[in-house]
Amino acid sequence: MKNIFKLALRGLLRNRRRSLVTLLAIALGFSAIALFAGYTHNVYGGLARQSIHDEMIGHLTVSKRGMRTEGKLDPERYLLTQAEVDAISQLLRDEPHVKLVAPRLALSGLLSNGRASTIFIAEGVEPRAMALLQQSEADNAVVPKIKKQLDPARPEVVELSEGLADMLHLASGGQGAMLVNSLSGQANALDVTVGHTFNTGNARSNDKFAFLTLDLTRTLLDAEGRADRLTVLLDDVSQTKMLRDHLLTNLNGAGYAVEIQTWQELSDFYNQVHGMFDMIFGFIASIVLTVVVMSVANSMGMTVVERTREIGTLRAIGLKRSGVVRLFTTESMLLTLIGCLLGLLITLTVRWGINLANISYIPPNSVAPVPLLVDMDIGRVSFTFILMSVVGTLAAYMPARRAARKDIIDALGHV
Amino acid sequence: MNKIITAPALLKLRNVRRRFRLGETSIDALNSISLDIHAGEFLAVWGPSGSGKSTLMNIVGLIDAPTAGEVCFGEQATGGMDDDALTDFRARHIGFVFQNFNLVPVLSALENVMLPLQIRGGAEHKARELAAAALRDVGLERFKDSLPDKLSGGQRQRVAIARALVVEPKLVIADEPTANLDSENSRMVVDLMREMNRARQVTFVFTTHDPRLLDHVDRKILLRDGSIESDEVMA
Repeated sequence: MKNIFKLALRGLLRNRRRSLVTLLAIALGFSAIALFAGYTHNVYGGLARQSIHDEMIGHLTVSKRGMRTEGKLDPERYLLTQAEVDAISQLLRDEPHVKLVAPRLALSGLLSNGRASTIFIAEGVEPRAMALLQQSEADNAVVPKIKKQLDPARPEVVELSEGLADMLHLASGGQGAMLVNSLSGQANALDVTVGHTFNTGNARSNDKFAFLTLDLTRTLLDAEGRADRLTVLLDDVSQTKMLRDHLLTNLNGAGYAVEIQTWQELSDFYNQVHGMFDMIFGFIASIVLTVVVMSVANSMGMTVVERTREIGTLRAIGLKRSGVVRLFTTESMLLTLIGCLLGLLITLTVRWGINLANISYIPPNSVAPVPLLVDMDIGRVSFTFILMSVVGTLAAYMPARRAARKDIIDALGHV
Repeated sequence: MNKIITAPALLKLRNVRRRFRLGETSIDALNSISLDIHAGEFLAVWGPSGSGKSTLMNIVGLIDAPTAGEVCFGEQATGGMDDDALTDFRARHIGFVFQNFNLVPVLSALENVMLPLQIRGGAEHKARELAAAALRDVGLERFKDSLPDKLSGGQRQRVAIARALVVEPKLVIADEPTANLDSENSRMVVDLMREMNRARQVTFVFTTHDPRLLDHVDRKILLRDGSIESDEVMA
């Protein structure tokens, strides 16, 4: 076996230029896949943080069963009562990995500056919970994001999205009035004071979104103690799916007809981007693998033809057909392994350069620049390494098999 | 006066024919050859080009199969053996020396000689010891680390002889081993083969065009048009 490796390795050195060209094809192909995987990994991470923390979706959302589909038509029926909010929150807080349980209440209506009014959609949330929900372990923004904040001591203060504040010429400290329909269907209006403004990061929501304290929201909707959902923040994102299943079983077992969604299920944008990048990744990987396979097969095919007489000699002195196949597939395996290792080196170097270059760009449907960063996606890099090595090795199988089946005397007489 | 051979037959060929198809036509390279090759013989097969010498060597070396007839190595009939069994058999019992030396260019002289032992699955250190000894026997110990392209034609052929002998075969097949050598190197190579034949009692069968080399052999077989024209045991 050791001898086969030695022969295979020396075989690669026999035609150095051809081996180098094939190695470069493998290495560049590998690094193209690895760098793109690293970029998408970073984008996924950024989108996940954006969904969980910036959009404050949290990791899990608990709501009454049917709330998402029927709740808009009959909100009264699908809101959690105060007793349910308290009891379910307590059950959730007793679970490991649960960092925060925040009751939430959505509303929509009209916001007026006294002269003009426009529609708004808003989220009611406790100020302390709002601060905790936005705390993420990493932040990708080029321009540090100003966190949205509500004042627990001043429940009448609201946070407005920049577009909404601009539209109504409402600066910080400005006065406005919110008009909404209460749960019972009666119009309810309250004066509000504009606190800070914020950028939602999404052009479609930046001219209509607002945050209110939960108390103010409940007052406007006349929904004392109630919530349409509970946002759960975990201390470990990897526990999300497992905990969802566990919590759902527990809550249903305790008699609460609730459903639980993960942040991935609720973030359409994340899923759309993920799906699109996965498709592009598959497309690029297919092209690169095809190029690698053709390159290796071509290189090994030429090698086999050039070494036909040597194959005849080895067969004459006792190497079996399977040994010939093993010899050339080992050579191909070494070629792809070395190529992948070289590709890994190129990946690390280019990744280092990109991450150091401070490049930023504005993604589609976004208003703020984000940095172009490349992660090391260990999972996909390992998968690519293994797949490319296997495929590269198999690419030599056909030429090697053809060589092994050649008659010894024909091979010895090959010119 | 011819010597009487009393050694047992190492190889028996009975009514061996070999026919090659070339498009629409077919050529009989060997016609009903029957032949006993005895253990320890130093035997030359000679004759004009196209007489079937190489075809006979290929069949005797078990790298080609006859179209008809039987080849027995000792008591073992080789006709029913599959490719793997034949390959194993060659690895254990037959050494080859080729006209073009056929050394692996990326391996040193020592590594070339080690090759048949390693193909058989021997331990590397043992193979190294045996290969070094075989190179010593052919007078090339100091060239053990040289690549084939750094050796002269005569030296390469001596490495090839060491490679053939390192597995202690019963039979060495050498197809035109001196064809690519000058007369001095040709004589040296044949002398070396002769010496190994005597010292180790290994049977050598080789083909040649050179009538001068026939003076050194125990037996010479003249082939013409695929048939044995004469089979002389030398005095």
